[in-house]
Amino acid sequence: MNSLEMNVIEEEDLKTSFLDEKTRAQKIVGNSFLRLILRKLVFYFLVFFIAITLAFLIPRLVPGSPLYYIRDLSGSINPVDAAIIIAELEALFGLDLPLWNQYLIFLEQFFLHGNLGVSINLPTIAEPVFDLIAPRIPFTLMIVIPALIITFFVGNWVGAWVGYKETKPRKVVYYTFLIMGAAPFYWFAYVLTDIFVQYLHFFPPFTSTPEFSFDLAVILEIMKHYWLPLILMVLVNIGGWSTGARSMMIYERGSGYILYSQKLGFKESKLRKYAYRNSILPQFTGLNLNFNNMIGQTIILEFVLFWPGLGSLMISAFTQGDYAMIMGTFIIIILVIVIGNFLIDLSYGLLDPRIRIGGSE
Amino acid sequence: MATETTLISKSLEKGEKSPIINILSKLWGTIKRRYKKQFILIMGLLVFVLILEILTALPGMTDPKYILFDGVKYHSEYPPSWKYWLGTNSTSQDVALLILHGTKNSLYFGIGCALISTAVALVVGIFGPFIGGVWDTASSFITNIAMVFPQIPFILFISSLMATRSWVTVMLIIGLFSWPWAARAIRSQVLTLRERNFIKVSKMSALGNMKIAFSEIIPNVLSYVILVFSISFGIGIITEAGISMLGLGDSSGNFVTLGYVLWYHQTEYILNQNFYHIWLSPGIVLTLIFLIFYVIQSSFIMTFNPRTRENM
Amino acid sequence: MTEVVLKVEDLKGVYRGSFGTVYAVDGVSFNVNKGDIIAIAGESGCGKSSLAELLTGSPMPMLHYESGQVTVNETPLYLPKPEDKSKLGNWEKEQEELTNETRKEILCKIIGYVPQSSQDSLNPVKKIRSFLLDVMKQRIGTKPRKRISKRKDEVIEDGLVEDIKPGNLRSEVLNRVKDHFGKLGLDEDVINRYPHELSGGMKQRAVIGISTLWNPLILIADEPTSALDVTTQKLLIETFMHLRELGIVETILYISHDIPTLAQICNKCIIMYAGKLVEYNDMQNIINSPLHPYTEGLVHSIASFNPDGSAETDLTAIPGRPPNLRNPPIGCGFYDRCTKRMDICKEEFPPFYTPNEGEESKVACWLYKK
Repeated sequence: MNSLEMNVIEEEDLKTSFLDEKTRAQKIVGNSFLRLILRKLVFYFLVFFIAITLAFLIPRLVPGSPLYYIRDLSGSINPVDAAIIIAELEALFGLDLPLWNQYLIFLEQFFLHGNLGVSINLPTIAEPVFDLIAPRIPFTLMIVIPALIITFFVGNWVGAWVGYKETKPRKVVYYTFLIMGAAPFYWFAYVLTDIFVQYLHFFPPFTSTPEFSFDLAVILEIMKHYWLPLILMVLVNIGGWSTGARSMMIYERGSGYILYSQKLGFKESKLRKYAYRNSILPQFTGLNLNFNNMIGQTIILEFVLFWPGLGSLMISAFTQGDYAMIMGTFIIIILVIVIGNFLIDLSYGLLDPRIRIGGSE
Repeated sequence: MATETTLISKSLEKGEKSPIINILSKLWGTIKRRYKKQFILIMGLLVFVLILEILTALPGMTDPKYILFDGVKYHSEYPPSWKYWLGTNSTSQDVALLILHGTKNSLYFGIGCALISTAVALVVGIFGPFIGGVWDTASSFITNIAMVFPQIPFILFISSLMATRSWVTVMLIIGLFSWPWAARAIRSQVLTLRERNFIKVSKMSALGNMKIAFSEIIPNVLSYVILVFSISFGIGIITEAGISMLGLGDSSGNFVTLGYVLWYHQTEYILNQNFYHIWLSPGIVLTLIFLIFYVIQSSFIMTFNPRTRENM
Repeated sequence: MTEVVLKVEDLKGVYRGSFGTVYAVDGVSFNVNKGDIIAIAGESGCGKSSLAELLTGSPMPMLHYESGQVTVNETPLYLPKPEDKSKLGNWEKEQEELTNETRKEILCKIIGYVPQSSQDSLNPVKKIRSFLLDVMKQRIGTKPRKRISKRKDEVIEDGLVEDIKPGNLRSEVLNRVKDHFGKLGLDEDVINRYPHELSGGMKQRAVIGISTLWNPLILIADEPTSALDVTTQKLLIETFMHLRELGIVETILYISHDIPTLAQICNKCIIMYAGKLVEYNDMQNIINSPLHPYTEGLVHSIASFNPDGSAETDLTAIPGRPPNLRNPPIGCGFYDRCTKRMDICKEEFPPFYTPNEGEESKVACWLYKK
């Protein structure tokens, strides 16, 4: 009895120190979310800055860059346009100046004027690149964001579902997704097009999607083309999430708290709920990497499926040697990725109070 | 991962110097002992490459783009037969031969990419945290920044700016942009190792940092390194096929990979229901290669996590 | 006449997995009377914990019931396996139903279980408070409400924690839990914390508190002290004694490999070896006059200090290793390590003998054959 009381006293001490810590923690939490925002803001700005610096340097370093052929425009362009383009590009890139001077001009044009140069591609000749890129951004985002959310939940659910009880039908579902994830997605896009467009006629055939406008008919037409790329992105990315969730689940279902809850008479359904929640929670940290991968995938997919997003614009610029457009789409893609990562990081901060207090790693 | 008796302290006891060959031979022993299953799988893959190499060296099979002309007519667009397993294309080339060469070259390409990215990941992931101080901060910072950099846009950006690209250039570009996640995985493993006692003992016994890294750390993160290698291998093959399919791969046209085969037949045959054998086959081969790597990877995951092992 | 609360008859359980079949519990029978504190001892891997898992009627996923029976308070926990293999599927289904029934009716109310790995026994993402409410929900069907509803039939009843009913208010229920935790020397603030905010000893006591909320008839403690330091161990043992003094639990099955600890609290002892029960005796007899050669070896390998501070000198370890349970030996499992072995030991497992008439002891050893 005596030592039991002693222990109570000990815990009294522990409790007070704990309370101290709690109030301190609360104080930190109060403004630490702000600090988190600031820290992430600085970090991502730095990343963006490094990325655009590379985007500036690489064309000047790689051999045979199209940058140096810009002034050599072919005769098919009308001379007035050509003069405008050359003037614009010289002002933007200042090719005769020393490298540091070119860099300063580039930074000034980008940050102060939002100028990314003009297109030299025929139908859109001499139009500012930024005006051509801006309407394409929503097209890319409307695939990536829903696909990211759907694959996160469905993929993790499938993985946890298989990991919880490895019966044969569950394994069949799991391995089907795994094979779809293993198939090269650009090729798989053709397979799906073959099945859904050519055989089943679910979606309109391989023609390009109309430009966006606030017209119901146009929006409906866009929606018809929208499903195939979205379904493809979802099918291809479920496998990756479910592999992770499955091994997490196998770990969790044998862990102490599940076995103990079982001995407290918990129903199977409740045990499952516990295991699901704990095996899916750590998967949140995979969101950033997956977002980056998905942007890369859509770039190629858009080209394959004629979806008018940033990627198809970038790739058609490659084939036409439209340097300003290549550069512009690249910088905008980096910007989308940086903003996306920033928002994902902030959402963890909101979800998990431990990250708010803890460090960045 | 059992705490191995340190190789260095053993050789110190014997009073012998530890030349790099000695360490390497012991490393080899560790690989063979501890990762027997993975070893067999990877060896199987290498044997497969060797078989492909022999097949493509046979007379009449050395040139993937050989035009089939028998003096009378071109063998163009033949259906699959015993002679031409996957038929021929409109340029009168044997598609099966193209795919055979493509598979071989893709596998070589994958090995190259994996070597480059694993090497970078090892340098950033091991030496940074191990030397500590400024190097640690720098390597962690570089990894964090590189994690955010989108691989595919960067690779596309650089390759599109180059007028001519050889396969070595493409391999370098892909290899140099796919190390960050691997570096992070190795780094976290090294960070936990750093706190283990046997490393501390080695440090206290005033061994050089490099020596400790080579003799103590690398053998213990070896399983991670092999895992990272096999994942990069798969990623390298798939990424190369992706950019080749956009026409941004090797520009000479002499390096036939699976992605190149896809691109080569893209405009003519893709979605053509009479030529499934031409446009489906490269993708199926790519899928199979990726699945083999999945088997290798999951065998590693089983080694790491015993609970998974019991359930597979 | 003493009341038998737990009756184990020829219980067999196996682990099945990719590693093959391991015969972890191989024909164990004993009775537990009301008020007993029984120790189950033996070296690691002898099947102590597997036995405990089987006794709850809801063993961990890889451990499977094979044959025999466990009767708790006159309720059987297992359906005997049919001989006919075609009925096996049906039997599995019925057994699963019975297991679900056990979970609902027996666990917590009749059998309380304190796990071996109490350090990760609480859900890490839940506060103790919300875990408790989950436990309540599993036991009584609904979570206790926050406010009194206007329906008349919901009356707060006084009494022990075991009377928790669907109508009780959440705050009322939690107050009772706090009282209960208080008896275990836990602060009432504990329920507002996450598991990682508690110390090892506190976590263990919280687990004991949760397991004993419904005043179970039997408490099965599976090496509750194994991960704790010596002083915390002592506190915990006192907690068990305290629980008994307060009348919260009367019968305890205490599993440990640590014989000195067991000697402090238990009055009876079961010694297990290689999945089999080899000796059942009073705790004092185990220490002073062990019957089975294995028990003798076990008792002699206890390190103890004499009052003058010198260590005991005749400390001996048992040579050799326990047999592989994947293919258990036909005869006595201790044959290879036994100093008193005879030829018959290798061929047949001995029946139970009671060498000292009138005592409630039994031993499985050919030495006592008359």
